[in-house]
Amino acid sequence: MAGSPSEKRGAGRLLAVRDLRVGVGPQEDGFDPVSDASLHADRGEVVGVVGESGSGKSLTLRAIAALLPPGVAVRSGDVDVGDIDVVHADRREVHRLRGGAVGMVFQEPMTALNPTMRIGPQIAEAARAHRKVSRVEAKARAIELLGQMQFTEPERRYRLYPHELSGGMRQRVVIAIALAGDPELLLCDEPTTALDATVTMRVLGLITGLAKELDIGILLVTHDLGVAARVCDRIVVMYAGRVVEEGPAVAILRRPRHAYTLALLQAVPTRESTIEALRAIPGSPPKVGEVPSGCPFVPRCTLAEPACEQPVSLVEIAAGRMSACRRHELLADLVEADDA
Amino acid sequence: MPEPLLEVRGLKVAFGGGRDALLRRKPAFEAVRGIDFSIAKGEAFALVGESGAGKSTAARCVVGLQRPTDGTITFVGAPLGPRRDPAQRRAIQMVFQDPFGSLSPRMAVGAAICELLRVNGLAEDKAAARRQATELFALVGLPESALDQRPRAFSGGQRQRIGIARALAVEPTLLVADEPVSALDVSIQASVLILLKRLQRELGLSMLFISHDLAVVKQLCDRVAVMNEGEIVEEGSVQEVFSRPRHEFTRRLLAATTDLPRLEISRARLVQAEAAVGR
Amino acid sequence: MSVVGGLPNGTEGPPTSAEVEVEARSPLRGMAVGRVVGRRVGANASLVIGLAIIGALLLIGALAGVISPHDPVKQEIGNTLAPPGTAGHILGTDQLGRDTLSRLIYGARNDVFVALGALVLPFVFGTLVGIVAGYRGGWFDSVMVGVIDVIIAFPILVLLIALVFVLGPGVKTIIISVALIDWVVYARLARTAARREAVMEYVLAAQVGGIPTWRILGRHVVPNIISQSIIYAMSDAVLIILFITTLGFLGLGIPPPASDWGTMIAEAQPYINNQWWLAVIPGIAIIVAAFGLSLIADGLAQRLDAR
Repeated sequence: MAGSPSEKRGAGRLLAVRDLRVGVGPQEDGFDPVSDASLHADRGEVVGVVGESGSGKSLTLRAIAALLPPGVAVRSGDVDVGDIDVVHADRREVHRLRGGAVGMVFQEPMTALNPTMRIGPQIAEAARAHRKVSRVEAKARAIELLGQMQFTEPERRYRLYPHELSGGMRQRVVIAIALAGDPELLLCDEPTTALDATVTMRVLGLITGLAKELDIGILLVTHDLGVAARVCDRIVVMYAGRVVEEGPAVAILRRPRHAYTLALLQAVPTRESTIEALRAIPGSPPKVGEVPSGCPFVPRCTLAEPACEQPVSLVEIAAGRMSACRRHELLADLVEADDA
Repeated sequence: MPEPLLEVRGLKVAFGGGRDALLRRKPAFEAVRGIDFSIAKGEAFALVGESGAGKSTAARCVVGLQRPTDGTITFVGAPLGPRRDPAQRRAIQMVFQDPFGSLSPRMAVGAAICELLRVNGLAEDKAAARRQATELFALVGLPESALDQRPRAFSGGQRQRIGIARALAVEPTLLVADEPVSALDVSIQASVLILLKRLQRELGLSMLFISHDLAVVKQLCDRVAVMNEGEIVEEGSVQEVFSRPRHEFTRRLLAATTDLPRLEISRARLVQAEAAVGR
Repeated sequence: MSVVGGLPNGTEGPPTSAEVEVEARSPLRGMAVGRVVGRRVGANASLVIGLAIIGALLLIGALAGVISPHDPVKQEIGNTLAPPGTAGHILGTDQLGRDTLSRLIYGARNDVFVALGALVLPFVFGTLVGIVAGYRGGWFDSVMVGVIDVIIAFPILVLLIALVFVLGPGVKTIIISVALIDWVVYARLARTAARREAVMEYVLAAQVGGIPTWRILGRHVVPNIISQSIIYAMSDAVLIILFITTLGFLGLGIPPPASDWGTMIAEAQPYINNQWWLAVIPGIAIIVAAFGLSLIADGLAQRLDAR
């Protein structure tokens, strides 16, 4: 690869993932749940990684936090979080990464908390894990975080156990723990999937607020386009282990430039849509290990041409917009005339 | 309004309760606290609410999987007791939520449907059952060869189609669907919703649809009742509830419903382009 | 009773609930060896090898009268304690001059046959009771849980030995006492599994579809839960063999002069320093039987769990 490491690493860029390949099993011939993922995040922005189950979105997130499950490993590519080279990080750097440079919020708030420990000390413990602060300071920090998470009477809530909280409150505690080490990047893996819709709104509002208020970057993995539409500044669309489209959220949702994104947007039931306008996507996503060599969406695509069977990579198609669709120009032509 | 097919009055379900070891009454948890609703013939009616609202419990009472603590359920004029006659049981069928748990794992899916047909006296012999199962599969868009496979051979969307075929096998008049698409991938949901809508129109099915998602309800249903903490807080036509929600909870639920910016892709030109590709 | 060496837990895959159950009760860590070997060679191979071993033992037991070179109870006073390799007595003779190989062969008949025989009654009865209790719930379930808990509260081996003591030694006694106690294990396994299955949506779907309860149990529930019990039964057979040999060792086993492996080991005790093979040979037979059964258990576990 050309260029010295210092050149490659963009200054001030919080997160850069380049050509990431994540594989299962020890051998090269095993299959790769993530075969080609590139994305980045900057301070103060919420980046949504949108995909269905099996799209590789969660593994990508875990690779960033060096939290891949046993037997799963990065095969190639780079992950840089600030000045940490995650793929080649040693033990000390991984420690600096987790809970330090990055905080993690998981899908299931109940299992992310220790049920036998009061919530306050759990936050305080996380605060002490990365910086030398006294117990008193850590407790003050925990109470401050609870306040930031919009808990009323944080001093009193400090002493509650996880089971005494509702699902939404638990998730706010998890976020507080993730923030305790003052991370620059918050990684959220389906943070609202286990929550009711009305609670989801509140947690999402909190997450967006954080990005601006604390000036940190947030990477939000979700299968829910509605969630992404509500809070994300940029959206990264993944399909079958690859990033297929990337760009500003509104642009992606209004004028998709990948056939998969378009198909998805037409298939999602919304407040405004009617069943007559809803369009089903034929077939189902390819299983890991059975992904076609060309564009992975070809078997389900209504716009595919023979050339689409050839391998295709993510290219810049306009300022700040990337697409891995050979028909991206056709899609640009489909935009309604009065808006063009 | 046409004569109601199903009428639920004062339905209550309490869990727990009973007496403890010292024979003291234990407090019961009331999942459903006295709800009324009715479904007309051919109508699609939704119970919508968040987890723990009691909507699934109410649905289970309707299909007879849960015994109500109080209240009456009337179906075509006759009360439905805890013991239903075979005709009553057949008339109300259910589509389940979990595409992975709702099919008998060790049985070929066709065999499970044939069993239903035989047990309910809808097919005299094996060949007839097989023929009918093939027709049912065709109805939900699955090939005959799928009959001989076990559930694990199918994707989530296909399993849900099989679950629908199974529910339709005994020729119900009311289909109860409990979150039938919420466990499915986003790209699969639409096809199952469209299938349900088509079946409802073609077969004149009435439907009780349980969902946490108002957006999904809007695609499928005519009328909706919003449940919160065991009670129906608002009921009306889907259009009414969407355009003029009266209850605070409905407003909150509506505000949380998936809302995407308008897609600025011309459908007409897309269809043209697809025709040009000819796939 | 640690006849067979064990391997540390860490070398195994995530245990199934049946395995956990087995681990909790089984003093026999030798099961782990079979399981690890099974992982290595794959489900089919371990099933085939296991069945071959047990099949061979059963065949040997069944044909004992034909293939054993000598009468197992015939004493040759002039030829006692002959070492293995002696002409006419490949495995030597014991303190009474009885042919070790012949006693081993008749022991296979007594131990393996009786163990498998003793298994059938508790397996069938316990599984039946457990499934009905777990699926139906209600008072029947409450009563059964009470009974099971009371019986399980006692150390099983002590209870068994007490029963044998009361009923007097003999094959019939072994079968009766095992049946009286061992069914609770199958009942508990089946009850837990049936309870789990009873709330699964495919069972609900069958109920809504009007399929009769006995049919739901037979065609839908049993096939999905029986594998655990069958797998447990294989390791249980090992436990019963051990139980029979323990009884033999304590002098409460299959009455002499009929041979069984436990009695052989017990009788070899005084000679352990000089004629160690007298104890080791039946010991190896027990290990081989246990190994075969555990291979079968493992092969079945892998095959039956693939839904």
